[in-house]
Amino acid sequence: MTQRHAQPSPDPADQRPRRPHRAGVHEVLLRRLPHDSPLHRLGVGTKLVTLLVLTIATGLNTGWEQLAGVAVVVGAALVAARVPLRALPRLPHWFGLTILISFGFAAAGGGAERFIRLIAFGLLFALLSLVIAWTTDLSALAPALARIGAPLRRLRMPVDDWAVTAALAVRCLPLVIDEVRTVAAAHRQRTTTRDPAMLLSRLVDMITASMAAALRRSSDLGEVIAMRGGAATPAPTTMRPGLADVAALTLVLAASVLPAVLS
Amino acid sequence: MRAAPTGGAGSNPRRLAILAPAEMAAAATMSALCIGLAVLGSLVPFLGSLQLLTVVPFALLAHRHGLRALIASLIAVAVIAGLVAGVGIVTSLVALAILGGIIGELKRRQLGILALLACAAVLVPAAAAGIDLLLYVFASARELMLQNVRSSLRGLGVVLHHLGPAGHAAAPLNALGRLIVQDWAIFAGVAAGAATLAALLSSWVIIGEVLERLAWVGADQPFAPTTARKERVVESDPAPIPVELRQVHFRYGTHEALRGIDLSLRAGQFVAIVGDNGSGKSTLARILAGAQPTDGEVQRPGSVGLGRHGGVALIGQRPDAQVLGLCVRDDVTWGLPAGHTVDVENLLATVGLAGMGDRDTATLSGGELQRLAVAAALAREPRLLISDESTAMVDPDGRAQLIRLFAELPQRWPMTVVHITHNAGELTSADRVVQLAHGRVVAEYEPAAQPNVSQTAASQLSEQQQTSGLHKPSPPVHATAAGRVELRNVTHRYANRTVWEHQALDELTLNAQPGEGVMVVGQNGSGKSTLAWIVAGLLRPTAGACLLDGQPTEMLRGRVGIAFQHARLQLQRPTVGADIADAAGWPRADPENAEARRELDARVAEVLRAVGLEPSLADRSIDQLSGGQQRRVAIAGLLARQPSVLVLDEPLAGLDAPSQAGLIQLLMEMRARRSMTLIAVTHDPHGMRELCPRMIRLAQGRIIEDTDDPSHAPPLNARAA
Repeated sequence: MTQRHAQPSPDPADQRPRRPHRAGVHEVLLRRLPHDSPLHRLGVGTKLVTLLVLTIATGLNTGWEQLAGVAVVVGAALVAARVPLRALPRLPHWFGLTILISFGFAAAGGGAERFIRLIAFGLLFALLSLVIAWTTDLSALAPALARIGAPLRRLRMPVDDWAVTAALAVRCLPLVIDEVRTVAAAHRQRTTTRDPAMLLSRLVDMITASMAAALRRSSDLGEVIAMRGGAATPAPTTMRPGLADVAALTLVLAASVLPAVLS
Repeated sequence: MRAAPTGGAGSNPRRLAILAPAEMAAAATMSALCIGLAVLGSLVPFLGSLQLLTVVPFALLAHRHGLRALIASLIAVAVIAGLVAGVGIVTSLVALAILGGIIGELKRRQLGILALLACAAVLVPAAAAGIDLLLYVFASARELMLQNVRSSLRGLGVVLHHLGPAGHAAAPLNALGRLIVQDWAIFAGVAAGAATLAALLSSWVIIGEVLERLAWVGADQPFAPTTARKERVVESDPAPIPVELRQVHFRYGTHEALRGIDLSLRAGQFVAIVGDNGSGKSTLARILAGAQPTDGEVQRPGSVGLGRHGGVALIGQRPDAQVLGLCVRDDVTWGLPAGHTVDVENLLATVGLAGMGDRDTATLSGGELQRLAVAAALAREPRLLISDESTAMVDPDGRAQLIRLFAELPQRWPMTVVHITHNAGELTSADRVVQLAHGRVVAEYEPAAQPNVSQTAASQLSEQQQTSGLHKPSPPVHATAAGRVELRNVTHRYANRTVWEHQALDELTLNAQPGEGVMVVGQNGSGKSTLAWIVAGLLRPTAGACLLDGQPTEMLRGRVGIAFQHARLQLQRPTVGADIADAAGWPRADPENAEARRELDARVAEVLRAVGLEPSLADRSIDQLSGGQQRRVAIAGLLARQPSVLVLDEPLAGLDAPSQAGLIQLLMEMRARRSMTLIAVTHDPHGMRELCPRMIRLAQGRIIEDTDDPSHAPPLNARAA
């Protein structure tokens, strides 16, 4: 804006040779690994139970034995998913730096061992979430949800509607993310200067624009659902728990119970 | 409850649908927003605070649709986010949903800050108790975390001690650490309570403002075809055809959309309804689909049965908005009662999508999506199929295929097809044409018997010809002018160096002179949107450079204007005037200073006039405008910045012919008068040739065609072959 006729620099394209860098975490979130693997075929319910059991077990026992248990499960998942190294996103340098400095303080205070355990748990669980996201077809979630929630139907809870809502949410996710990305881009295009006093007002602007787009989408979607005569029961899942699910759950239970027995 | 449509009554598991379509749609959309925020917040380092924003969608849901929708949304968000971002996230999501739910409900009942404080009096102790309970149960995790805080504090003390001057801080830090571990219940309780109170108060302010600004959104949609399940319970067997309309009126508030329509539809016809924007044709579609007229009579042998077997099926305008399934097959069967089997392959073959059952719906083009919508409609064997401008946002090839399909259907099935359009070229294959203007039927004829195009269509055509004849700008070449765009070997890859690496642009080189009009054409996924974002400086190319007058565009954000396809996303301030001022970078007027305000108003009025809008619109809320008006306001804001380059993403999509012609004329004037470089990105070159004489065709990130005068280019179908 300010310098409409800026001095032409000799050749900026050649001036700043760049090494194409690896994509950051935000670019690879919620994406499925394109190949097939045993973990891709594992039931969604099994994955949910795994997460739940491991999280509770870790909450109750944070010893090294439990850490080993979680590590075994995550390691098995990484192998079963055949995760290529190129799936791993790049973490910003300052992320490592921050952890290093925090470790320095903790170590100076005599808590090096504890700090390592805490960070290890955090990284293992983040990795587990990533592996599950990489291998789970979210469209399988709705039937699984309908089946897991079946007992609630007796209490007259609209389990099927919840399942359909979840499926529609999965369907809307890429569209909504795209819209928010556009709002942010339009915002960046306008705000060439940063004014901290405007921060809250800018935030409200962006939220409002995103919500307005989401509301429009929602009213369109509501009409489309009505045009199809309303939602029906989600299609019954063809996936039945198999040997792999039994094996996985056995491993998870062992990894959760054994450490508690051992310690 | 739904009647069993396949005759196997009683064999279908019956169910209670508790959520109305609108509630379910809102819950799903808001869930998607929340999931995005939660996952981004939990997995990207240091974006954790994004999670807090989920309180806004939750509050909006509670505000507009109440508790049922909120619960459905919370369950969807908790399960999906819990699965892909860890179970730990669920606790905070539940807390945020409760917070948002309370604020939304209070706002709905129009209660003030006192009611909020009363809620806080309950919520704050509850949050404290909840945290303490969690920490009590998960004692081991608590010990690990708090001991870690303690040793870090001690470590901080040690470091400070060694540094010297602040050495005396070590002892109190130690004491604090010890206290936190010993009296964890008090510390954690107070922290949780304080956080809850702070979140409640700040969300109250932010949500209050957001809700106020959003008051207009959705206010113009007074009816969805069916809203409650009760209607379905009492419905008799569907038999929507033959239908007879007598003196039907429809009013939205004070606006009269239909003023006495007489119309009868028989079985087995292909009827086209044609008219301009505002002629009432979409409202007529809604009446045929079962909406109650304000006045007048609609006679059918049975019920409408929207979306039911043997009833009415409706196909709308926006291709991407109509897909409900994640893969093609799921979308065809979406909403069909359990036990109802259809031959999906056969249906897909009928609409020309044979063998695509397993395709991801996100990979289909606009035309394919609309034909998929037809397949989903056919799965219900409707007696009446209504296409409400379903061809408006589809490229010419796709349009021709759809029209051919509509004409065929009444011959193959006992069904009536009603196609609503503003495009006169689509009428020839219809059995009957009904022309609407100002809410009345002004002509009814058989196109075979009366092949002349209708009056409105003729006037539209001549208008277009006029604009193209009158405003043929000589290509303005200014050697010294700003606005030279240069792309040098630009390559862009998304998810670079990961498994998902996707190359959008491949060594692309392109020059646009100042004042040149360039149209970039290509299919979905050809890289044209990536190109637009790079030229606008919003994306940094992976390799190569995009230069504006010799400088990389990523350093010059704001000097290249970009108009996104969905204009609403670009308009960020509450009113038209405020948004234009904001986009232009003019300082916000001090409300005290009448002089400055008047000056600002005058500048806004000038810009509004330049894009052909009434200056009186300045005080309107953004969400009161039509899509075409929003696009003009977005362009007005961009022009106010005096950009040397303007990038337009699908500038004509979703506009009717007169609006398209108006916009083209406006942009031609801008280009000629300001010698602005124009880069328009579109999948449909139709109607843009005068504006952008140079056409560049992209495929797989490469330029496959670069013609200066597109009239010499081979016709579309030859090119596709």
